[in-house]
Amino acid sequence: MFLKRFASTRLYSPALSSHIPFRPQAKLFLSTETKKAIEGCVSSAPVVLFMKGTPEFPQCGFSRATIEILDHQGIDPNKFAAYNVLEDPELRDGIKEFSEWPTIPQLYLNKEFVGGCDILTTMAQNGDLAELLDEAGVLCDVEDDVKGSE
Amino acid sequence: MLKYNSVVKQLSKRLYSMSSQEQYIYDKITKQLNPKSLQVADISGGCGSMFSIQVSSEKFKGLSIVKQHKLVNEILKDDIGKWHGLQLKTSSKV
Repeated sequence: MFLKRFASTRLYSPALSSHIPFRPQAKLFLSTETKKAIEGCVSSAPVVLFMKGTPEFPQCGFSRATIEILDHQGIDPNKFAAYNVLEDPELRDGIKEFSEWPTIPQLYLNKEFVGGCDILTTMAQNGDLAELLDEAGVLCDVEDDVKGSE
Repeated sequence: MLKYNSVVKQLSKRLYSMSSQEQYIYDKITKQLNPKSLQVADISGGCGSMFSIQVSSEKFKGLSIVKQHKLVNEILKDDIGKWHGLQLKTSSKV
């Protein structure tokens, strides 16, 4: 269905997947380069989702539910990017600290943290999410939706 | 008969009381948030690494939902790191 629309999205950041030198000591705080790389991810698209797995193949029920919500809302795929934290341990730990949020998925809208799966579910139910996304102008045109283009 | 009784006992224990881990989380949140209502359930299906928590507290008043969740996340910081998932519902309505 519309999930296919996500097929064209960028799945991970080249900055993060490139070799970050191995540091033996336990990470107690976010290194500057990780922080920079995450900031790069967050600003790579108006709507950015950090998830387990990919939009086509989510690898966690919460990530799947979040993708379904976003799909249902009709996010414009050109304004959406998803990052698979399972591909990058640095990102997986870093994003939790970056957002001060312990779980994944995490959704960013215009570089601002919106919430995780539970918050998005609640917001989708009470209509706040549709309003927020609409105001941000990240939804597909209705006409596009009907035709099911892409 | 004895076996049947123990099964019933086990079952009712499972249905009506919390596991030690659930109780531990329950106590932790109660201590910090003084909640008006609180439900903690292990929804992992056995491994004990996924929980569902519903909490309403006056302490949430005036906070955005993200801030409410962050408050709970902070209290359970050491525990959440070990879990696979957490389903959290917060409310300021009392």
